[in-house]
Amino acid sequence: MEKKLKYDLNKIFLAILVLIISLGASTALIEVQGWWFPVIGGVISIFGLYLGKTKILNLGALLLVTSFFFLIQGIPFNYFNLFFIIFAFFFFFGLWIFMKRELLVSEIKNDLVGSEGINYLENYKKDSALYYLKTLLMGLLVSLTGGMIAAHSFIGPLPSGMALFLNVFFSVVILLALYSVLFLLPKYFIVE
Amino acid sequence: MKSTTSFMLFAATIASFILGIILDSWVFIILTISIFSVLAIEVRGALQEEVKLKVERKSEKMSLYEDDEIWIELTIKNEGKSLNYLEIFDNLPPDIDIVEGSNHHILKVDEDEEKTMRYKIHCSRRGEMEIGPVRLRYRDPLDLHVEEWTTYELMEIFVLPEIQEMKGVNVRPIYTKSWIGNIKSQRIGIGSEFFSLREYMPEDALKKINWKATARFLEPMTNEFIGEKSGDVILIVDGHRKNIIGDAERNTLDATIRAAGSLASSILEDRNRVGLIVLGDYLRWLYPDSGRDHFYKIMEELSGVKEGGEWELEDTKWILRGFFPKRSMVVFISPLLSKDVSETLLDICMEEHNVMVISPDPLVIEKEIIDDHSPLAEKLSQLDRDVILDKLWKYSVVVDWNPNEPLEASLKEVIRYWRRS
Repeated sequence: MEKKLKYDLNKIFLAILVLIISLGASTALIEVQGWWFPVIGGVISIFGLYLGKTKILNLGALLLVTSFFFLIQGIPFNYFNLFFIIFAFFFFFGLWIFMKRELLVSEIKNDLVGSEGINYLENYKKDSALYYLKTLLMGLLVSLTGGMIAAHSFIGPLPSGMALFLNVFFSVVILLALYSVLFLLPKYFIVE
Repeated sequence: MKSTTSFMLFAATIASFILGIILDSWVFIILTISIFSVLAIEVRGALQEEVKLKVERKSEKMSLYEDDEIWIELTIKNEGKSLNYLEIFDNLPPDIDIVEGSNHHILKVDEDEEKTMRYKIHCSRRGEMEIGPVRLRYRDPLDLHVEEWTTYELMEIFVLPEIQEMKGVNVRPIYTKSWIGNIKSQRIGIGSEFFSLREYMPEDALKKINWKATARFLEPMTNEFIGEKSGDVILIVDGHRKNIIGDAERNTLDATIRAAGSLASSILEDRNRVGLIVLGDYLRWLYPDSGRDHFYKIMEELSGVKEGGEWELEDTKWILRGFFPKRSMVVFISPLLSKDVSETLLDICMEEHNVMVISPDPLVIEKEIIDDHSPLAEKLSQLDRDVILDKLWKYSVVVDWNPNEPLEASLKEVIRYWRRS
């Protein structure tokens, strides 16, 4: 029996997700003047996804993310909001990279006739999905740690000038140190 | 090499940081940390060492006929460290279609591992096709680190023009040469058909002795046979621009080339020698020879013929005179759209060549590609053509061939009439 890929199902799923997000954001912004902004961003992303054009997809994603900033403007600083912002970022980022992967998979699928060599594409889909999840989880972990460090450094109104710069700089240094200890150093101790 | 995506993320980090300071917003500062964390983690996606890949392309055969299909096998051997996301694209010329598999893959190749990708191609048009180069690209799934290479692993495939089987017809030269063939000559020699008896000579082979005649004459008698010889046939293919009618899919040049290929195959099978002169984008010619290898040489020459405007039939006279054997049969294949060929063909006849003209009918092709054709214009063109054909019949054998029908049928009819007359 010929093996069939479910690319279109993936595309439909991603498109529906983008549409839900953009409509949700528009509903939340209904009383603001630019309430249509997220819908436009979402529709452009979906167009990019279906036309197979990375540039259109990126533009739509940029508009969608920008509209997200309208939604969260003036949000007070606390731990719940901190987690919300980080989770939202990784959600958007994950959605974007999955859509980009779908474009590459579609491109390769369009060149494929019959089932010869389909296993390479199936393996890539599996491997890349795992890789994305791993990256997103690791990124989330590091960002949460970094965010916590930054939060501990400046609860309350933001200091200005050099103090802020130093805060961010130290947070990043600590973040990198953590990252190297957690992920990079073990590589040098593993003897094959 | 960093990709556009990594540049975009890096720019977003800087922009977010600057916005955080300008707008006095903690959201942007947190976003800076998040984007930076993605960039930092994705360092693991970059290539750590030099890539050592060996690419080889194989094919079951190097030449095929139009509308045939062949499998191409591309083997990638990784002699370096493991590569997770290697994108491979094997470049194909536009006239080749893939009917199975793909020339574009993304795969994982471990250390010292060999991976093979196969695809079947269909070649719809004759010609010399170059497959390759192979473009390789490593990109991590997030598309942040991209490395590209091009491997100039090229392969040439000859797509030979389609030929027709012509088992029932023999195009044979009138003049034979000294070497053995299938044409019965007027002389005694090596052959299979009995001619006469003669007295036994000491050098005669025992199998030639006619034992019945020996018993009757009471002295040894030997059989003599009709000598079977072969001759030279020179095919002249007209690829002059003014003699071409039709579109890319269907035209008189393709019909001419197919006729030449079919004739070459049939004449060579009949153990004659075949030479070739092509008046195309440039003047190509092959000295008469026989055998399978020579057939493929002719077909390879024919597969690469393109229309041209420099060379005309007139120019073949000096080649025929200077390089080709005398008393050969010259087969001129042309749609005969230019009227000045008859004099040149007469000159060729005067130089002791016997001439045959095979003309694919351009009106048939024209009618197929033009929807709205005028009956009067068609009649006039047909009259013009008839005049040329009648003129040529005076000193050559002329085959008026409808390219939609098998060449064998038209040839058979004309050869029968010619032999009878």
